[in-house]
Amino acid sequence: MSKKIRVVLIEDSLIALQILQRLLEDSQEVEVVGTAQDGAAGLELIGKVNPDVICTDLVMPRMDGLEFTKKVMELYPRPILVISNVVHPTDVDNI
Amino acid sequence: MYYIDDDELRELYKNSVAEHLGSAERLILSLEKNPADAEVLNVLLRELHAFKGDSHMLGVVKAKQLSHELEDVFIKLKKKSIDSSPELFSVALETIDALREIASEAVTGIASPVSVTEISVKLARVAQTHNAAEVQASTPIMMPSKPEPDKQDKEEVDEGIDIESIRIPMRKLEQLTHCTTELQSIYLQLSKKLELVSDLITHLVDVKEDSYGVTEIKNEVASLQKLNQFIKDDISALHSISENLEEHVQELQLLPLDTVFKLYPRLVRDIAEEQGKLVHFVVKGSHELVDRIYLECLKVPLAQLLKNAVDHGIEKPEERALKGKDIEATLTLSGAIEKEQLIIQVSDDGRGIDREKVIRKAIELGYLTREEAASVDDKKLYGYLFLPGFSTKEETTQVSGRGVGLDIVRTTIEQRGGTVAVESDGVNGTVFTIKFPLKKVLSSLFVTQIDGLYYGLTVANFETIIYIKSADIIKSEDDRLYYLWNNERVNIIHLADIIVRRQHDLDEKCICLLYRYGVNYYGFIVSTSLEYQEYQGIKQGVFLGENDIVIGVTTTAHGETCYVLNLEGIVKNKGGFSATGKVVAPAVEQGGRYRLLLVEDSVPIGTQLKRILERNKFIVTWAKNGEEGYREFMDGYYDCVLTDIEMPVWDGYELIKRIRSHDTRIPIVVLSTLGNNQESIDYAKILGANLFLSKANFDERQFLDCMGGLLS
Repeated sequence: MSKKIRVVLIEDSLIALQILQRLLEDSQEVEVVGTAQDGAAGLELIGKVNPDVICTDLVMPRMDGLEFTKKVMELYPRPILVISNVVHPTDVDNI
Repeated sequence: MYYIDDDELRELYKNSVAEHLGSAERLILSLEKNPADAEVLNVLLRELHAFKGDSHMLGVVKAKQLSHELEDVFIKLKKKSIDSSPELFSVALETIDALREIASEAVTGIASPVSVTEISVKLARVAQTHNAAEVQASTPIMMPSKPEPDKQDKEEVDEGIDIESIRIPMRKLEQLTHCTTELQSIYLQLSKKLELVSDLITHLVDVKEDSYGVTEIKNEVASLQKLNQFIKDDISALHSISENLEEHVQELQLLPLDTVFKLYPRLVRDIAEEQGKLVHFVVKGSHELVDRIYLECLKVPLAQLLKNAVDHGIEKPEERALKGKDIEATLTLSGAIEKEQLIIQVSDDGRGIDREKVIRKAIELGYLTREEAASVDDKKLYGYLFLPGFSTKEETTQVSGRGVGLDIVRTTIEQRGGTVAVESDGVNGTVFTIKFPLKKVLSSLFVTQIDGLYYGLTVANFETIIYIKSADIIKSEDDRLYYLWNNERVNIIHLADIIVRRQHDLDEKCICLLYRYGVNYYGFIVSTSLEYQEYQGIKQGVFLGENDIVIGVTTTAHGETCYVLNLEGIVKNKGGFSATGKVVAPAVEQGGRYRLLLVEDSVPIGTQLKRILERNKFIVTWAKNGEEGYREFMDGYYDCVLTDIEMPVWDGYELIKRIRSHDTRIPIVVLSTLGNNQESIDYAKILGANLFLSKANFDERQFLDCMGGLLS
């Protein structure tokens, strides 16, 4: 059996976090290995748990999704999936 | 109507609503003062957006729609396509209220009367009016119409504060987890040592008399001494862990003053608007952390003081202008922690207290004579303001009501051990100061013994102690006992009668604790073995809860359990307790109700159980020990028996044995503190008990289910 995909979720709304986590954990192939509510905490977490994939929101306190994505690519490059409900065309390009 | 089914998500939504809408409300108020503050506007947009997102996720459609429309209004304001106006802010605040209602519908399942369309229309109007106004530039913008009179007049302060759940920082949780790990390891160590002790005992028991010499005994003693030392070390470690644990748990109770302070800007704004007063409301020290019991206690009194300040204290702008004051009044709410005291002040620069008026009123009500009035100091004089029925404001207003306000403020604060005082120079405003001592205060108890159990009476409740002769106690026409003390009628309550419900003879001379409740005096007659002791707070038993007789449990200086009595409850229920003798429910079958024999020696526990059972359609007969229980069993007819194990005269085992020798079918349930001891459980079951429940982890629901299951 293949190893599960290890995912970290970054999302400031606890509700969205909860729902995403349930969705992902319904799948047999995915395992949520950590969650954080802002970019800065997320960055710290990624250093610790070394996930395969990161899902992040864009609008967050302390460090937003854009800044966070930039930092991740510098420090621990890996796939990032942006899940957000504000999507301007410019945001898509920025990512 | 929409209700969130998922428990976890519902709880999260409840917190999210309180947080986002709470701060949105504050930001709107702040923006109203300073509409040019771009940063505030940005944060506000973020909050609304977050709320919208959560509502959307959970399918709270109405909340999503309205918050989206509100967000739109503020986006327009940000892009300067509309101007700010008083109406805009009023409508925005109204929308926040509506959102709260809608959210509460989704959380509680209770339909809210909010009309989304009505709010939508208003929002659309503020989003457009000003564009339209630009077009017809000649039309001056109308001042906002007053909020409709049908606006619910419920206490806004009652909502928004949710201290049911608190958030715990990870760091704190880690500390607690650490403590539990330590506890676990000490437990293991102690168990190991206990094993050694047992081994040693087995060894010594098996020893043959002549085979044991002095050396061997000395060796055994040496190992015992070593063990003794180890156990001592473990116990001191245990002590420090439990202290740590206590400290950490207490810290968890701390919340910022902001938790309640944040409720007031809106309140002040609304009253000021209603009364046409200009008020600059300043809040200071909202970051200070205090125990949540103070927050709960402050909530209503502060609202009252602030209402009073705007209503009575602060003048209308015209009047202020005439006096040469700034037409905008300043009202300050501040909190600080100084010298282990929590100090809360409400100060305004309004007209202050009219000293002469207070004096007139005090004379009128008979608190002062004219002679005394000439020399009375402010502190004493203004103290009268906190007495029931003392108000100098002649007409009643909608906002602060009659003179009941300050009286309630005082009693609420004093119940938590605080004080409240007022200062005023009669010209430049009024300052109310509330103080709470934060240092852990030791309270004092009188401890008395009744039938082998200890009962505590909180010293602070008593006016004085008097010694009376039983011959001086008078019996009234309606068979109540009283005593005349300084010409006051003191209702006599013989404590032992209430606790064990048996008529006790009075000693020739008795100790009588004088308790004042309302305008009446009650004298609690206690036994001569009255001890005085200090204690650090009462624990509310998991099992006990609060009932009419007992408010909680503490331990005596000798480590015995001591039930702290609920004096108010006892006095209020005096009528119900006046019956003497055993309390026996009639053993007559009544449509589907089970007759239960309760055998329990502890009065507080018995009272509680009886109450739970009677609430659930049992007819309860209560016996105080095994022997009494057996007699009841033989005399009456019962559907089931519920018994304790450890009791005087005959214990539960004896009772079960005897009942089973007559009746093999009646269900017998044991409810005991020995619930964690397998041996006791096994023994009771061998004797014929059907079920063994533990008092330690008593669960009412489970208990009733078990009883129901056995009986059906």
